[in-house]
Amino acid sequence: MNKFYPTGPVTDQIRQMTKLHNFRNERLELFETLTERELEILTLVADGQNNPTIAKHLGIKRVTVQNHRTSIREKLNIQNDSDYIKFALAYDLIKF
Amino acid sequence: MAYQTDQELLTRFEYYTLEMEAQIQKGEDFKKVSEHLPFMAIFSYSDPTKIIHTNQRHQKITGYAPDEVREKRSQYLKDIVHPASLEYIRKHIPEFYLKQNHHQTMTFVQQVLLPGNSGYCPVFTFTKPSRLPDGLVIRLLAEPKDFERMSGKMERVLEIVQFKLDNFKRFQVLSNREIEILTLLVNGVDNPKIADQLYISRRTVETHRKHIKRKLDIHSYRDLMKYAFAFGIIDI
Repeated sequence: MNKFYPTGPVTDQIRQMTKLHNFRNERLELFETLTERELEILTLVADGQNNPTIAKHLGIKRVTVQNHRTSIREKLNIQNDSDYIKFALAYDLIKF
Repeated sequence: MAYQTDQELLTRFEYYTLEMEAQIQKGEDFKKVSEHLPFMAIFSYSDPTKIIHTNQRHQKITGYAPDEVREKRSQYLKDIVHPASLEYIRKHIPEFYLKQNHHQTMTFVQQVLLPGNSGYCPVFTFTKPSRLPDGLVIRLLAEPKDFERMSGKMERVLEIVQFKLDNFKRFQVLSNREIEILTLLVNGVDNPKIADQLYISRRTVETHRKHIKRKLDIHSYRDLMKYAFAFGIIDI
């Protein structure tokens, strides 16, 4: 808590974080079906990495990354890139 | 006292404030109703620097007794509140009390020097316009300890506020059309659908996106989402 933050209203941000908290709670069961590897890939995708970079980073084939992504999308019912980030933020996989 | 979520803290703030106002309205002494409160409480009229009372909790945490605060309030404020925070309070809080109705609430962060901490700590302060006949207003303050236990959520709120402040000027130069497109983008709508929805060509959408990217200095979708969270244009 040593970092200095400026003075200012926070009500809207708190509401948003609360929504994210509810998003998390409503999808706990879905989230728990992910494997360790899928978690790893979800984190990298949400962090903005593309498939070739992820493949290289994890030492696996691109097509394997693609298969994992399909599996993640199906398990979490992800429709778009925005959802990846929402999940990753809600489950503290990435920092804001 | 520890709070699970930030919302819980807000709800408690609101609950205690309403409860105190109700008791004061019934004729209870305002000094009495704040005595056993689990938060620091500050009472003033519409000028937030003219403090007339502070509670026991406040004394326990800051080391200032109520009469000490009352008699030397400008010294007290100067000693413990960061100059930038004090300026904010002087400027925006009286405005808020005047303009809003008594259902409106406000939570803000201020930087305060508290004994036992090195440097300023962020303190969450809750207030709302008075609904009491004499215009008495209550400010409730959570100590840093209260939200440190909240699994880092408060820290995230502060990070977002910081991002918003750092990038406010950038966001302001966006045109209404660009904000419209940005909102669709962060909610997962793709270019062809944006074009359909706004009755413009795909190329025009592409051009708008380029402008947004340049104006906001965006390098990835993740950067885009930061704006979405900070400026509240995302549906969660």
